[in-house]
Amino acid sequence: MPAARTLSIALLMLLIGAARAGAEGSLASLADSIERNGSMKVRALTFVTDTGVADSTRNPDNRIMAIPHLTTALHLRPDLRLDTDRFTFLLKPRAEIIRQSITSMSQEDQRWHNHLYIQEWLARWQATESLYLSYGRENLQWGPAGLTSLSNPFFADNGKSNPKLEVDAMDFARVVWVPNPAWSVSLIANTSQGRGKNFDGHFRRSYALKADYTGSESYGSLILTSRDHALDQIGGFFGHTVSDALLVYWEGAVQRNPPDLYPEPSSDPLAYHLEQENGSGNSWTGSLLAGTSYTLASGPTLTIEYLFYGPGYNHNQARQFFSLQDNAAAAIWAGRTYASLGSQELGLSADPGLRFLRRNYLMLQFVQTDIAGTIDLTLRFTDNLDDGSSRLSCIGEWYLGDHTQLFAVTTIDNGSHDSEFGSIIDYQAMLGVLYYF
Amino acid sequence: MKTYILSALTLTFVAGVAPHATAGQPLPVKQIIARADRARGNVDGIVWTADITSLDEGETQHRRLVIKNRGVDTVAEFTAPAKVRGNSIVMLDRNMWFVKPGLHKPVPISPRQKLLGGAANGDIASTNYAGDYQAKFLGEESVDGRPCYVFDLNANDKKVTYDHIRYWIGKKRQLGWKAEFFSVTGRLLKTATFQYKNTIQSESGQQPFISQMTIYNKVIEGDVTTMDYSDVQPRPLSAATFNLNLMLR
Repeated sequence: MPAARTLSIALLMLLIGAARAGAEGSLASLADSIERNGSMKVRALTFVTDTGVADSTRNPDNRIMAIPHLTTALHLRPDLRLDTDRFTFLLKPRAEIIRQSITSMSQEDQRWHNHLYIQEWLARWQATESLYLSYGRENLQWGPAGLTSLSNPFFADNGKSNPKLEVDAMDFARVVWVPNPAWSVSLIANTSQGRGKNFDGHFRRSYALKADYTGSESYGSLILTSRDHALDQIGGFFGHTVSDALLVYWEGAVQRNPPDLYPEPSSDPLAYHLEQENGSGNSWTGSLLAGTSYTLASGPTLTIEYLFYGPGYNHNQARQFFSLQDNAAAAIWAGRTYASLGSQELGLSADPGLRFLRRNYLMLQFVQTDIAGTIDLTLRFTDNLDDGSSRLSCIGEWYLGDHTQLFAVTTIDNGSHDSEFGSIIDYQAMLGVLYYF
Repeated sequence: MKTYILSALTLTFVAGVAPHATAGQPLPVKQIIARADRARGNVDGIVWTADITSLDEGETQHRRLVIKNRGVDTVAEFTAPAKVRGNSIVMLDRNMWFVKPGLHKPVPISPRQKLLGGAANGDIASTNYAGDYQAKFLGEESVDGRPCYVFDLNANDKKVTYDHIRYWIGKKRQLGWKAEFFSVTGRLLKTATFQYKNTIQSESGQQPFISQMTIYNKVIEGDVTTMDYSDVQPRPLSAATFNLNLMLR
């Protein structure tokens, strides 16, 4: 749906809601109603991001991924909300000015982007005491896991790697039934790609049935997803408050015919090519994440997560994947006749549709908030147990007064050039200022 | 003689029955604790504003929250200052999540995690002493001139914020006036005092409701956190208020 049309619908709904809220008639009562029932939060942030692009055959001379070395940006993020007796309206328009500098051995490219768009919007109607119907563009996220939310069939990115960047949302129709405080059931239809990105790049309408339970010290959810008129994924999560300081959780999914790309031997000069596996078969692949976090009496919270990701490449597939990249990069560098085939395969390998490239991961996290009353700090170490590569992330937020925050989001990747975390970037450092109006 | 009376009282309370509290009618211990709980927020459907002021290592911080409470479920939304506006803590019995507009999904947190200064998340959620603790009568003492029963509360399990609480409840109106919070090792962590200048309408008429809780950190002397409660409004809150699927970020 074009942005202008989405904006029009959202504004129309906002006005209808406002009119309903001010049904007494007069313009003054309408304004009064909006003032009483509406709210607005506005944030502005500006940042500069410096990225060290890895010198690897996966992205030779940065020709395939065109990762900006330097990005400067200004984002304006107002969040508008209006609540009436039975209606809720939400609108999150966004304005962005971005300057990117992309350099390679062959060229230096400066790009300016100006974007005006709707990040999220929602219209919700409370049909009965326990039944809610909504439609809108949402970033639907759930589950306790930090590394990835395996049970979420709609979003691969849970936004944890960089909380300063928003995850592009998709369009959903939802019916939520809350029969009692312990149980709720949601019917979710993903009707349009919106600004979001699908796992395999092709949008397919999908439907999910989500049942949630919340007990006195535990909670859980079961999510059944249907695509192409067949059950596509069964996922779920469970969390338990063991004590006032200790939490444990699990999240998992079994997926039918993951649409990801896998290396296959080929007769072409590159020796391998990427293709979807089991396209016509009916195989199921499972993934499981287990995590626990503990809050020390002195304040910090320590978290550890282990992920087994079933769709990830095994040792042989990973070897073929990086061999394909070596061959493709060599063809491009040598200017061979099949260089275009090499570019095509590298383009596919830039995002083969997987949440993670391999199968076994460990994540360690340290979080301490309110250090000296002004600093929040997150340190996260992710280790690919299969190829030995790793990622160290640090998110620091320093509050200056009640309205201003200085922040730094840094990532350092470590590994050989034929490993997951060693083949795309060496480091990324984002520094910025966030202002809360 | 005094020792004898105290022993008799103790036996009576351990057995679950209080001394003749009013008009010669004995009150069960659990009922006294539950009455004190209700005056601290454990009622079906109530909304209030809490202003938290913390003196932490010489620095003063302030937060304003709107707290919606229904039984053991609580949603606390920060409304000031601007830098925390929209952040929420969702507490469904002992399950807790932190919700932030910039974050993309609710993050599970533990009751022990710091709310502000000397206050932990559990401090605004702990309104169910009657259900979470076994009470033992220790005797009688005065707090600021008010005659009080003194109870020793021991946690039913390891899942609550404090393993052990010493609790002073007024004899006249069954309001909690003072508490001492201990770790599992018996170390005194915090003390708290309470005031009840608010009132709410209940089935039995006007009922006092908490207006201030002051927490004194006993590990770091000098750190004091004050929670002032105002704009108390009993009102029905739907189950959806506490449902993460319907929470807008």
